[in-house]
Amino acid sequence: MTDVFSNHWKDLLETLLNRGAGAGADLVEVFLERTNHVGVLAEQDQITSVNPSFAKGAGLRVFRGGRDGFVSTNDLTQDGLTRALDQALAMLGFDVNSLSSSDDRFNGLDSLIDHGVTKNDWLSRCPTLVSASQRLLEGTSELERIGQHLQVRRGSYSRDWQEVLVAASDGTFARDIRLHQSTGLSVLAADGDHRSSVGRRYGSTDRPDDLLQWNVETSAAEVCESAGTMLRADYVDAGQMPVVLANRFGGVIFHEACGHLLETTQIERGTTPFADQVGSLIAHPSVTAVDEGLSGGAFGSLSMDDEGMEPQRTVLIKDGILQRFISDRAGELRTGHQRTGSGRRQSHAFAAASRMRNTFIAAGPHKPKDLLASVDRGLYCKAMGGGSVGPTGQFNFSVEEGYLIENGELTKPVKGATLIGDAKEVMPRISMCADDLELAAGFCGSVSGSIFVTVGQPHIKVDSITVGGR
Amino acid sequence: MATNNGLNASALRDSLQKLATREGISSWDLGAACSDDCSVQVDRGEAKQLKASQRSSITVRVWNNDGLVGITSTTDLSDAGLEQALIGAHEASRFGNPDDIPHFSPLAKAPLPELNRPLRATWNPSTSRDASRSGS
Repeated sequence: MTDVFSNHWKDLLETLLNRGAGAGADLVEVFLERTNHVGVLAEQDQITSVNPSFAKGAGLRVFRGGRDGFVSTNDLTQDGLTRALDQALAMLGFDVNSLSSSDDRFNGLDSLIDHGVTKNDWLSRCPTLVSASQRLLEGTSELERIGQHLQVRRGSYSRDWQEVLVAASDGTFARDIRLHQSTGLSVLAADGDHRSSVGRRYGSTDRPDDLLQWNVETSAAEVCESAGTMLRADYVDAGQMPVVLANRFGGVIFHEACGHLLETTQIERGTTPFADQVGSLIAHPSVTAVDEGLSGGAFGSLSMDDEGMEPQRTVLIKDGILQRFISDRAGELRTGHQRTGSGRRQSHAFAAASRMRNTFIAAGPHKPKDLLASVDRGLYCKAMGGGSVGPTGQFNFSVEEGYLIENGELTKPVKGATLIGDAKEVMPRISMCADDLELAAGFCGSVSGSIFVTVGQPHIKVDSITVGGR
Repeated sequence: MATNNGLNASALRDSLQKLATREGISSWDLGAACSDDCSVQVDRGEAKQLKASQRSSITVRVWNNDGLVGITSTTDLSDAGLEQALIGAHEASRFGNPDDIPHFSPLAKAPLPELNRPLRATWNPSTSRDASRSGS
């Protein structure tokens, strides 16, 4: 079989789907994938790691009622794929020795929808290892030039190219090529007993020349300014207080604490408090939230999801009222929520699940300074760090760069702050949204592996939240 | 290269050797692994999703003419996939760390010792005591 995923696979895929449908499966899906990844790391003024890796494989999924069987394999020969399919069928109790040739569950594949037809040269247009390495060394060199007290300077780059072909017994037959690139700079600053560690990551999809367009000077300046500011920051005092969260990556809290609870996988597990709340007020009326896969160049955008469906713009919450959940094929089957083009997976080794794409709180009518002016004493979170979220929305997130707000003005930088809360309690307290919505690239790990997403928001004000400190 | 019963190590070696000769690569080695897993996801007492995977992969190391090492991995064990991996490792070797150059493992060409170890040894208190005595 040809190495390129194309119409040449149609006969083999129809044979497989016919076999699965003939055995009695409600639905059979085949996901074929090829990937080409490279990661490069620069430390100080040297390239210290270059990691190319490649993969090819298939994931075959069979549904029977509310259950499904999933088998992945690297063997893309007809024998290998048939063996994997038979294993998936046998898992669900189908007898592959009693196939019915007159079954009408499968009527052939539709014409191929090729989203990748204009993307075939993307991989060859990406930077070479040499040019990628040069750009990273420009980054670490710029950090050295403008930074102060820097002990460690790092630059990293990763490029993920993926070709997929999806075929299912409902006729779905679609191909796509995806390209994700991300670049990051990070530093560790130290002066006596004072320390600060700051990193920033930038990412894009579908832009082969993205690394060459990267503004090294701006990125390095942002990292160095933050590291310098936080180097001698005092520890924050813990307590309950109003908080203003900056735009872009501040949206990670909505993504983690609320977005995951609006995936149909959470309804299936019985872990979302919002399962029966469609049409109900679950957030402050100032909050409208969206998940979509359409924004040009955004890390979570896609031409089709991993089940062959084109993405939509899904309004999750409008004026505080829950509108709908994001759903995949299994989610629709098990919960009744219609698919939204959100079936996503890390690779062929994972079954697709309902996952977020570009998820953000929509812009509001205010200016960022209006939010700050409304706070007598509180915390401004300019950059968020890592965090964790419980299965039903309890979260804690560290604040990488924070400032006290006193009498409506930013005063001194503070470190050691952690935001602690619960989605259901915090959503009604987001009382003001500014007009400066921006997205930020990120990675999301969940039931179907690690995928590319964006988070986003304008500046928002939370009336009251628990701030943990030293 | 991957068969129903696992990897065909000889075929992998022969293919890579042919490619290495063509590319002028004199030193290379490979590590290979295959696995066959299955799992079941149970939700409130019901089996919801049953999963299985058959995975084969190799890691290739290439030493270039300056002695620097490049490493790559792939799950594509077709001829085209092996070629891609070998050339990828060769390109990566250009960025190898001159201060940290690994060499072939001394075990790579050592004769394989006789392996006579039952997968499931029956635990026996008396032999267990004997073993600890002889080991001390």
